[in-house]
This record gives sequence, structure tokens and C-alpha cells, in this order.
Amino acid sequence: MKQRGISTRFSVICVVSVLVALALMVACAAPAPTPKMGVLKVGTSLPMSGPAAAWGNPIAEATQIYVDLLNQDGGVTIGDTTYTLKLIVSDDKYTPEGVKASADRLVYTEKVDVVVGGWLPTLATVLAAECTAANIVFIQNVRELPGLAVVSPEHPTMFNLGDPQIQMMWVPIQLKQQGALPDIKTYAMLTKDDTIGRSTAETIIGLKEEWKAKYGLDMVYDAIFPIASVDMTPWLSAIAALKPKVDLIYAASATATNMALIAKQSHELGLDVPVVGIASLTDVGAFCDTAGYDASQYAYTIGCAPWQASGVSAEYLEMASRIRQVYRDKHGTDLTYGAAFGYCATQLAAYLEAAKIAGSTKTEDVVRALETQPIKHFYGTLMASGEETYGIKHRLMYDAMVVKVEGRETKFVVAFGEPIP
Amino acid sequence: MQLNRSAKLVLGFMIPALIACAPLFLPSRWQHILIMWAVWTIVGMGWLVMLRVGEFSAGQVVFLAIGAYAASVLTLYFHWSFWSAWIVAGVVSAIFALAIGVFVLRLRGLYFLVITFVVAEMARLAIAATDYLGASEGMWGMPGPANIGPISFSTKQGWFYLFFFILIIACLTFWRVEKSRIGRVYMYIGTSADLAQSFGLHIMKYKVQAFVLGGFFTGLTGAAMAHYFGAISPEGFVFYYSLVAQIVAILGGIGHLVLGPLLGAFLYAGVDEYLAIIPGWRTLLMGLLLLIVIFFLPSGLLTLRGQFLGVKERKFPWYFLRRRS
Amino acid sequence: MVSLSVYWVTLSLNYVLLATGLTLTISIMRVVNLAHGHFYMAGAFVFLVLFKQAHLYYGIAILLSIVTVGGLGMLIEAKLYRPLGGRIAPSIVCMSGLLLILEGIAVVVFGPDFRDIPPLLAGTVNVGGTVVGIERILVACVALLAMAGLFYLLRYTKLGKSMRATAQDREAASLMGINVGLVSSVSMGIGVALAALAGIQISAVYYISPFVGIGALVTSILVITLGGMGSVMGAFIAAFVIGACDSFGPMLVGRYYQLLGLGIITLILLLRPLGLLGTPFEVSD
Repeated sequence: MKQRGISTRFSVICVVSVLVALALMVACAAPAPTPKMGVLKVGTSLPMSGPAAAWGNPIAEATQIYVDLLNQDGGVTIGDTTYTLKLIVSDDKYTPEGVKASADRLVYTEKVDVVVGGWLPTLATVLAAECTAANIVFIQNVRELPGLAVVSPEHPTMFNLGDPQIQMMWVPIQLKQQGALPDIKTYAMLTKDDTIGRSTAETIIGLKEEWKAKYGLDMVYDAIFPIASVDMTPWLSAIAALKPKVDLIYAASATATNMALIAKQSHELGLDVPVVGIASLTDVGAFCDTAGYDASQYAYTIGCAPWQASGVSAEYLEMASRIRQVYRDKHGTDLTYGAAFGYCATQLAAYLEAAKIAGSTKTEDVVRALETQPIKHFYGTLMASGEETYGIKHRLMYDAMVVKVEGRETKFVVAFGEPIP
Repeated sequence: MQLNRSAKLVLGFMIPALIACAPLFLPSRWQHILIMWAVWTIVGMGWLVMLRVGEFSAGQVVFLAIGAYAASVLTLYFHWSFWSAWIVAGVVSAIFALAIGVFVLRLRGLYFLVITFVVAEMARLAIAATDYLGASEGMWGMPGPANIGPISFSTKQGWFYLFFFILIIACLTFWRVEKSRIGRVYMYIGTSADLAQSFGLHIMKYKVQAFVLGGFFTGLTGAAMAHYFGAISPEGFVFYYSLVAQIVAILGGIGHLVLGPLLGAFLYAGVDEYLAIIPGWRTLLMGLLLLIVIFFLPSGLLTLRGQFLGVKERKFPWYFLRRRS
Repeated sequence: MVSLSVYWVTLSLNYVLLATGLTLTISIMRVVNLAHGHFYMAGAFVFLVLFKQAHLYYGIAILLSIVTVGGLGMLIEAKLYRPLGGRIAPSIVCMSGLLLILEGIAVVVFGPDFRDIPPLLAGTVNVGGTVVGIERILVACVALLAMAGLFYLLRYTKLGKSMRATAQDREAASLMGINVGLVSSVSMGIGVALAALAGIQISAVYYISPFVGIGALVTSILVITLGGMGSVMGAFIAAFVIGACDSFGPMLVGRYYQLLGLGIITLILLLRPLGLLGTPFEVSD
């Protein structure tokens, strides 16, 4: 007998069919692509113990903060893989034995994917050899050029990223010309006694007459001091005895410690004039501690933080500020240029940019990107110079930037690229 | 250790075979540790042989420096082959030991210690002031040896073999010295120089001999080390490394000229590498280890086994350094 | 020239403190205290903590630091050194261990950075036409005071005489009823305290870090080698000679100034192997 309307059985079959159809549709829908994950190991060798430890530790810390922040933001996406970064800092103790063990550890034990940083020719040589053998990218910041020229031809994966060595000796001129210290007329020059120091002194003495004639800046005293000196009084007293009083002390080649002591001891002698140098200050608070707060206020030096430079992309400005904040929260003092950004973090940034552009972490691809594309990092956007500059083909160089110590921080003063013709 | 003939034969084959195969299966980190093990064993033996003749040297690092710089100058500036430079560096180091030893070994005890300290520092400062030797930046880019057949020196393999070669030669030499008449003479001189002299032994001759022996091997090691690292600087030859020579010999045991430093250096090389991430604690630990050994195990860890078995500790090594007053 | 001379005097007096301390410890221990430089460093760090963190008065902080480090020295002599029975090699190894421990502690607690100790008296004074910092003059005065005190102690007090007697002949001294153990501890304590004072002083003018120990050790050893071990007068003279090399040297010969000092020492040693005023004393066999 026919029921009224649709039979139950029929309804059930319809519903079940619809459900089955829906289920099949869902099952056959294209699956959402799961992102690939990976770990990118970044290696760096720094003096974490021994005499240069005060220099190496802030750099390591700043770079670690950078890596932590990147990971916090979800890692770095290169191609189709999202990488968590792992920073491996190896202590090279500032000795040859330590450097060798360190390079070894990074390349063979930890098997890092890239090495960044490296500021000594001995360190760079050893690291370069290991990186080339392992075919990984090595981005360093060696300032002493003779060392680079020796090793670079055999190391196609090595890049140099840093601020200009040669230009830096024009700092006093730039300070005068650009109005930061417009009234200076005389200066006393002190350089440390090593190859770079002596050649710098020689060059500047050679330029003495030219600087006096063209810029009205006269060198009235010059001396070379042993690199390990802790007491600069012999020379500073001689400078203090000059009449009329000299306008500026130019530490044309000196370490940060040298500069701190010059500032401290010249202040002690009542010689309160600007102390201009080209040493990088990792931790300004520490510099103020060594020199004494009052004395440190007279210091001008090279290098500034990314937020003081111009031409830095918004993305990197923001990251730099975040790193600064984390450090400040932890230590209470500011972390400016010094090598904190410029000796390790910037090199890492450049690598990551190049890898992102290339879409892969394969060495050949990254090298090609570094060689041919504009690379963004903490100090701007740069292209590798293709010419043989100082014997290195792979050189990415940014402007020299001068800062002055104010309080326990630094303030940007002037910047310059090419020397004045 | 008394070994019968067959044991000696077996060891004689096994050890070289093990060493030959090692670079093939050992990870690079361990190859580096073992190389440093070889280095510190040799330096430690050089120190210990001086302790045998009754002198406490605080300047062993100077031979490392002389060997390293001599060889580097020859290969880098004069373009000598590594092998000739290496041998010559060892000889130069030995000659230096001879020249210094003849003057310095006239002094005894405390004075010898201080003078060796001063000589080592003087050499280091002289190097740091000399542009020709790279001054404080050091020297780099010294060409290493060319590959020998399948053995490559651009990887660690060749260096591994070289350092173990030096180690074996040094160990065999010092072992022979320990067992032979010369070794006994050293001990007599160390225990009581005056008494030995009354027997007609020419003390200076033996002391200088021991000094030169230690200097030669340490110099060879330094030369090889410089080229293995690829770079050297005065920072690598500071006083701390003379302390390492002590640490290595004391930890292992001064009772045995070869086995003591061998054991001590193994411990040191391992600890140094594995604790590299915590530098402050590492230094602290080394210091504590030294104190613990000196107070509880004066003859070193070698005697640990004996202590467990209730064997009375051989006290002889310290006799000859007793103060008389 | 005047300022260089002032520099010479202040530097040499600092060396005098260091070297005299080492000479004292040698006369008791019969071995070179390799950890001497690290007590110099320790003194400065203790002062740093007391002055900057505990906010004690400058003078009190100095006194307390010296007493603390001196006390540490006494403890070390009694507990670590004496049980070793006066044998050279174990003693030196013990001191080497101590050196490493002190440096390790300093690095772990304070970190590897340089620290600055603020000077007590800022300002300058005009001496003979050149400008000299007052702090340096203060440093020199304190050093002179300390030396004068030491001299008085050694010459005129009973303790001083006991110290000299023990240094000369330990057995005879104990036979004379001198408490040799106590005197040894005190001598060590004073020697170490002098090093600590030197450390505090010089940090006000330069800086301090955990790694300055070896440098101080080198200087003190050079001075006593030149002056003769065990001789306080010799240390005084030698300190001024080495001080001259280190102060006038950099101006005259640049970076070879350290070799200048070493060259002088070599010369003197060739003529007088025991140092200028050194007397041979029994050290081994």
C-alpha cells in the first residue's frame, strides 16, 4: 500500500546518500599544504674569555637577542621552508689555538650552515679556510685589509661587510666641515704601535700640510704609543703642556680601551678637549665605566646604532629597536653600534636577506644573491662591489658614521662616504 | 710496566694500525682533541724530564714559541718546504735550550724557576715587538705540507698522522730514557745532586741534556702546531701554557715519564674542549683539580689504581725537591 | 719632564709594594708565589665590591679589603701551604692551582669586563710647570706610608724581628721560642696584603679586570729578580729601575720599552746572578 509522501526508508537513504556525498567531497578536497620546518644553524667565533672578552660578550649577546626575536616572530621563511634559527657562539679565546679549535667546532662538530662575524685577520684566515673546505658562506668584517687580500682569492664563499677603513681617518675634517666642531684649529695625534697604527700615522702626517692649508686644521703633536699601554700620561702631559691649548686629541688608531684611558687620563690632567677616535664601542656603559663618567662625555668615535644611521629600512630599524630594548631591560645600559650590530648581527641579516631573495639556503644560490642583488641589513641596503677593492671582490661597505658619547648612550653626529676630494 | 715479547709485538702492530684508521671514523672534534692531546703530552714530558733532574721549569712554552716562529719564518718568508722547516725548527729550539741551559742550569731551584719564567716572557715580548715576526698581530698564511699520496694535509687527516708520529717518537725516546742508565742518572741527580756529584757524575752535562731533549721535541711540536693552526700570535704563548705543561704532568702522575703526561694530557684536552662554553668555570675547575690532586693524590691519577688495591704509593718523585732547613 | 718624573715615582712606588709583598712571601715560603698577581687583582675586586656596592667610606673600604685579602693569605699559608711540608714542587703546583681558582672565580662572579674604580681626589695641581693629577700623588703617598710602616715593623717591633729570624733560619727561630707557624702566616698575610693594596691603588688610575694578574706577576718577578730575592732594599731599588724603564721607556724607545727592562736585567744577572742585593739562601737540595 502506498504511504502518504516519502517513505521513511527513502528519506533515510536520501539523507545517508547526501551525507556520504558530503563526506566524499570533504575527503577529496585538496589538502592544505603543511609548511616545511627546518633549523638553520648560524655560527660565529668570538673572544668570550681572555683579554678581549669584554669586547666579545656584548656582541654575542646582541646577536643572540636578534636570533631569539626572529624565532619569536615565527622564524625565517626561505623558499618554502620556515627556519628556526640557532646561534652557536664559539669561544676563540683570542689565541691561535682557540681560533683553530673554534673554527673546527663550528664547521665540523656543530655543522653550521653559515658563519658570520670575524674581525681579526688570523681569525678570518682560519675560518675562511674551514668554510671554503665545507662550502658554506662566510660573511666577515675584517678591518685589516692586508690579511684579506692574502686569503680572498681562494675563498669564493667569503664576503666582507663593514664600514670603511680608509675613509675613517678623515673624521676630524668631517667633524669640522659638517659643523659638529667648527672651531677646531689644532689637534694632537696619538696612534697605537702596530702595523695599522703606524701606516695610519704615516698617511696622516703626509696629509698634514694639505689639511692645514685646505681645512685650517693643524697637527701640533704626534706620538705613537705601545699598544698595551695603560698609562697615557707621558704623552698626555706633553700635550697638556702645549701652548696654546690644543683643540682636539685624535686617537687616529686606538682600541676602545686605549680611548677610554686617554679620555680618563686627559680629564685627570684637566685637558678637557674632545677625544676623537675610530674604535668601536660595544657597550657604551662599559666605556663610561672604564673612562669615568665625566671623562667619557668628551669622546667621539666611529660607528653608530642602526637607529642613528640613515637609509636603514623600517623593518630593520624596528628590529634594532627591539634588540636595544631587550638589552636595556636586562642591563640598564644602552647597546649601540659597537660591534654589537656591526660585527655579527648585520652579517647575519645580510645572509638571511640573500637567502630569502634566492629562495634557498644552498651555498651557490646565496652567494649568487649576495653578489648580484641589493641586500638589506641593519645599516642600509648595499650591493656588493664587483671590482677588486683592496683585493676583495665581495665587499659590501656602508658609510662611516660618527657618534658622540652623551650620558651613557651615544648620539649621532655626522656621516660620510667618500673622502672629500 | 713489564711486557713480554708477544705483548710488545701485538701492541707494536695494534697501536699504529689504530692510529692509521682513526681519521676515517673519528669525528672531527675528536681528531682535534687527540691532536691537542699529542701536543700537551709532549710538552708535559719535556717539563717532567726536567723535574726528574730536580729542576722546576716555568718556561716550557718558550720552546713551543721558538719552534712555531722559526718554522713559520722559514716557510712563509723563505719558502722552504714544511718538512725541512719543521726539522730545522726543532733543531733551533734545541740549540736555544742548549744556549740558555748552559747559563741557567748553573742556578738551582728557585732561581732556575724564576729565570725560566723570565726567559719565556722575554721571548714572547721580543716577538711581540718585532715586525718581522708579525708583532702583536701575528703571522698567518704559512703554507703547510703538500699532500703525500692519499694523505691530505688540507683536512685534519695528515696532521693527525704527523702529530701522532711525533708523539710516538717522543714517547719511545722518553721511555728509553726512563728505562736506561741515563734515566737512572737523572733520578740520582734529582734526588741528591751533591751525592751524585761525589760519585763522579757530571751534573751539568745531564741537566743540559735533559733540557735540550725536552726543548727539541717541544720545538718540533710547536712548528707543527703553527702550521696546523694556520696562524700564530704572541697571545698563543702566554705563561698559562707553561702552567698547562705542569697540569698535564701532575694530573697524570709524575711517577712515569711517559704514561703520566699521556694520561694527564688526555684529561686536559678533553676537559678543555668540552668545557669551552663555560670559560670561567673551566679555569676554576682546572685549579680545583690541581689542588685536589696535589693534596690527595700527589703522585697523580696513575696511582689511583694502586691506591684502590692498597699498594703503597711510590713517594720517590718528590724526594729530591725537599727543602732543607 | 717633570710629569714624567712624577709618573716614574708613582709607578715605581706601586712596583715597590708589589715586589716587597712577593719578597716577603718568598722569604717565608721559599718558593715564588705564582698567585701573587692574582691577589693584586683580588684586592682590587674586593675593594670594588666594598666601595661601590656596600657604599663604605673610601678609607674604610681600603682597610677592609687589605685585611680581607691578608686574612685569606694567612689562611692559605696555614691550611694549604704548610701541610705540603715546604717541598718546592708541590707548593708551586698548589700556587698555580690557586692562581687558576682566583681567576676563575673573578670571571664567574664579575665577568670578563674592565672595571673602573673612581679616584678619591679628583683634580690637578701644578708641579714645576706641568700638570699632575692629585690622585697619583695620593697613590704615591699611601705607598710610601705603607713602606714606612713595613720598615718600622721589620726593624723595631718584636713581630718584625721574629719575621726576619724565621726567614733567616726557621729551625733556629723555633728553637728560640718563636711561634714559627704564626709568624709564617702573618708574613704571608702581609705580603699578600701589600699586593692587594697595590691593586687597589693602581686601579684608581687605570682599570681592573680578572686578567691583570699575570701582568702583575711578571712585573713583580722581574723586580725581585733584579733586586735579589729576599732583599727588601733590593726590591726598592729594582722597582725604581724597572719603573724608569716603564715610564721613560715608551717615550724613548716606543714599543721596545719592555725589552729595555729585560735587557737591563739580563746584563745585571750576567754580572751578579743573584740580583743586585741578593743573598743566596737555601732553597733546594
